[in-house]
This record gives sequence, structure tokens and C-alpha cells, in this order.
Amino acid sequence: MNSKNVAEPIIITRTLSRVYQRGQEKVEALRNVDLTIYPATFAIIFGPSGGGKSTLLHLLGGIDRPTSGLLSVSGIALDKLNESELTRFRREHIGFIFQFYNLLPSINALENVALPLLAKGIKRKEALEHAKALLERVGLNGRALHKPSQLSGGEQQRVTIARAIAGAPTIVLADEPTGDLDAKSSDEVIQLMLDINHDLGTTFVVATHNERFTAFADRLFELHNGELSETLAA
Amino acid sequence: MKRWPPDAVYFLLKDMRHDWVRTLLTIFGMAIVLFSFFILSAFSQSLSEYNQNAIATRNLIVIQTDMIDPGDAVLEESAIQAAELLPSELVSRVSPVIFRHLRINDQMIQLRAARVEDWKSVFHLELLEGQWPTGLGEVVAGEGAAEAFGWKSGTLLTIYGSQFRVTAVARLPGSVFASIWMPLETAQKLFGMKRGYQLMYVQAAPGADAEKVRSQIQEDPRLAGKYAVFFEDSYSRKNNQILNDIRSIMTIGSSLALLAVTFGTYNSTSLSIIERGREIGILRAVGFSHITLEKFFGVRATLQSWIAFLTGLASAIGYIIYQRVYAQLFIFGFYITFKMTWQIIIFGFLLTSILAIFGAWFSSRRLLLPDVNSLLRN
Repeated sequence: MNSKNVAEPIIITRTLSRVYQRGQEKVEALRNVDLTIYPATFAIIFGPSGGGKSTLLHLLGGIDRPTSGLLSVSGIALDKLNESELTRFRREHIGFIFQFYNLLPSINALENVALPLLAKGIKRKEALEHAKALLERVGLNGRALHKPSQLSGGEQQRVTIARAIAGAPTIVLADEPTGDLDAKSSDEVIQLMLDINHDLGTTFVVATHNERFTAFADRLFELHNGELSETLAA
Repeated sequence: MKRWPPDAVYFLLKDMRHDWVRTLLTIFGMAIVLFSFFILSAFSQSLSEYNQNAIATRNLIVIQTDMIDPGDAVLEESAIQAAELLPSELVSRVSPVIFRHLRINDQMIQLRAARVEDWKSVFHLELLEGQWPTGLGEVVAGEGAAEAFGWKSGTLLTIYGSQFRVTAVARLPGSVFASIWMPLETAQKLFGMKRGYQLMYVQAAPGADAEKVRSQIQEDPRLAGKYAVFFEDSYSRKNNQILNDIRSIMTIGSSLALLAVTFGTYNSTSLSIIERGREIGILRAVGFSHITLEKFFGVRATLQSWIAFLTGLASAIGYIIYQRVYAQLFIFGFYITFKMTWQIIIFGFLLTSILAIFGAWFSSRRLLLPDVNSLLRN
């Protein structure tokens, strides 16, 4: 859980803004956000629902585009990329963890984990072997062949975590990863992410409104009404 | 899934199995459409073959004016005499015909009676098997009747209360009527001459101007106004026109049926994409490009259309076999045998595949374009 400030920043945003058009109204989801994060950091963006956390994560993950400002992730200026370059960027650099797990219902846990590897063009057999090892790492080796509907919320989120790290991304973006879990499962999920961050050196940016988890952050940011500020981590 | 195939097919089959009700309904819907295509095409094919064996003749057909069914027509002796009195350099043969629609062995059949010596020279009957009749209780089965009812040499038929034996099967060029050919004298004895003859064939002499012969017969005071004189081929064309019209409708119908594959694929793909908005968003988020997903839905639609194609083809072949064995179809005495050809199958396969891919592409191209963020918000 230590920031490696000696390295180049892995995430840089400058005066980053995102404005949505909702009917006639303009909604400023993010306002002039300046953010610098170094590799292997476990960063938490804390704030109330609707404060802009998801928007920021979506921009960092290249699944949304900023209205203005500079956005660089892993040394790549995302605001300059076209759609297929963004797809490649996500494939190479980003892992996602969503609040509602977002697993494909038609395939089992093992195949869900293998998806990022298949997207990279790795053969199915090889991808499934690697996915099996990842499921073991998140403590689900006995549930590999179960479909998402046969897993509990905590188990589904572990599958999502395994999927997020399957493609060996440099950054994992977690949007309210415990938002739909009970306290025990939430603790397990947070601990799992911390272990991965520690063992693999993967950068984590976690958006949450749960104050309890701010204690685990290397760096803690608060996001209110689209404005970001850094507070001291515990 | 970036590797095409086999990984994509593996996941496609899983996806189709997961959504099996929709998959089955889609395949079932397309199979019905393809069944219609095959049946209409086979029908159209069989109609197109009716005139294939037509040969050019120098025959004129004389029949009562404005008569729809030749069976109801009456040809007076004076009309026959008028034709017979024409000089031999104009007319080489005059052959009156008795024509009836009869129920024979429970089948509706055309019966034609003419002098046996005219069967080859005037009517161009071609012997397919057996021998021409020599006795009173003998008849010849037309090719259509033989095909439809399995009649052959030796088959016994009850005609107008009397028993007859089929001595041969013959082909009448230009059509596959379900017909029975009977020597003229036999028919005269069987039916009597109260209704006389129904029509006559007049064969123009070699070297004679057939149009001139036609005008001369038409303008004879004994025939003028009461009888129409046609060239045999134009009369056949007129008779076959109804089949040609039906064939045109069949061709339009079969084309529309195939077009429906496009709409079916478009609809099912659209629905699949709209319902899977979030799943597509996830796939895009983990690194699948929209082109890969377009291919995924394209192959999915193609796979479904192939299964539907095979189902539709198998059903159509099953129906054709059933129709041949148990439910022979006749239209105005024409025996309709559905003809499934390799051309129809290959043409249908290619068009089904192309139209399915087009339907899926058109739908996925439009619906997969939204950015990942909007898809995940579904």
C-alpha cells in the first residue's frame, strides 16, 4: 500500500470537465478536476452518490470522453484517441469492477473471467486455464462452472475482480464495488483488492460512498458536485 | 471470441442455448418462411416444365366459340365435312376428338378419344412403355396419370361403368395432363354419339400456308361465327396461360419469402442487441471492439438461418413426398408435381445466408454504435 512517487504518474488529469446535456439543461458532472496518481497506488474517491465518481472512473477507463481538459492514462492522451484506439487501450491497460457485477449470464464464472483474455486473442483453452488460476486466487475454485445466477453477491463480485485482473491491466477501476454487498462480503472484497494491489502492484482507483473503507486508501480524494479535493489518508 | 471460429461458435452456441426460447422461435419463424420459399419454388419449377417438351406442329384446333371447357363443346358433322372437303394440298388430315372429364378409379381425368392412326402423326403421342391398343377394351394412360396414380400397362380401369385395360403409357408433348387416350371407335360405343365430337384437329399439308388454311376454315359459312380456329401451339399457350400466371405469383411469393429472412434476422438481431445493451457494454468495456461484436451477431444470425434453412428444406421435402404419395394435386387436369432441384437448394442457401448476414449487419451496425458509457447505463 505504498505510493511509488519515484515513477512517472500513471494517471494525470488537468482541468478535466464533463458536461452532460439533459434535455435543455446542462449538467456539470465534473469541474476542472486535477488528479495525479502514481503506479501501484490504492486510491479511493469518496463522495455521495451523484457526486461524479462514476463519471470520473468512466473517463479514466476510456468508456466516456471529457468535454474539456487533459486526460492521460498510462502515458496515453485518451482525449485524442478514436473509438477503436480506446477499445485497444481498455484491452491493454484497464480492468473494471462494477457495483452490480455485470457478469454475462449465459456463460459460467470461468468463462466470464476469461473474457478479457479472449478479447486479446488468446486461445480459449489457454484463457480458461489462466482464468481457473485467477478464480483460485479469489477463493472460488469450486464455483468455476457455476453461472452468475447460481452465485451469491459476494461470489459474483469476486468473479468480477478476477475478470478485472485477467488481462494483467496496469489500472483497475472499481465503481462502488461493495455497494450491493453485506458488511462481511464487503470487507472480503476490499481485502481481496488490497491483496492484489500489494501482490501484483496493480493501481486501484476505487469509487465509494462508504466511509469505512477510506481507512484503506494510500490516497483519498473527495468528490462533491463534480469538484475533486484530496484529503489525508488515514 | 476474437478468434473466428471456433471460439466464437462455442460462445454463440452457449448464447443461443441460454436464450433458447427466442432462438427456437426465431429459427421456427425463418423455417416457415423458408418452407414457403421451397414449396413455392418447387411449384414454380414444376409449372415451368410443362411447356418444355412442346414441339412445333402444323395442327389447327377447331372448337366451339367462347367455350371454356372443351368437354362442354359440340362439333357438328357439317364442320368436319367442311374441313375434309378442303383440297389435299391444303389439309393432310382431319381428326375429330371426343373429350370428356371423367371420374376414373376415383380420380378426375381428361379422356380424349381419337383415331389410333392419328395418335402419332397428328397428336404426336410418344409411347413411353407398352403397346398401342388393338382391341375395344384397351386404353393408353397419359404420362401425368401414370405418374400420379401409378398406372401402367396391365392396370385395369373402370370407365363409364365398363372395364378397360391400360396397354401403354404415352407422353403428349407440351403438357403432363392426367389423361386417358381411347380409340375413337371405342369411345363412340361407350358414350354413344348423342353429344357428338367436341373438337377437331386439322393438320395443314406440308408446304401449305397454315395461316391461309386457318382463314379458309374460319371463313367457311358452315363454321363462321360458331367455331374458333386456333393454331395448336397458341391454343396450348392460351390453355397454359393460367399456369404461367400461377407461376408468376409463385415466383413473386418465393422471392418475398426470402426477403422476409432479412426482416426476420433484422428484427431478431435488433431485439437481441437492445435486450443485451448492458452485456454489450461489458464486452466493449473489457476490450471487444464493435466490429468483433458485429461479427458475433452476424455469425449468430447466419447460424440461425442455416438451421432454419435445413429445417425448412427437410419439411419441404417431407411435404413433397407426402404430396406425391397421398395428396396429388391437379389444376384443370394438370398434374402438379413439386420439383425440388439442386438449383433451388443452392440458390436458396446462398440467398438465405446473404440476406441473413445483411439483416444482422444492418441492425448491429446501427445499434452497436452507441458509446460504451450509454450501453452500460442500460
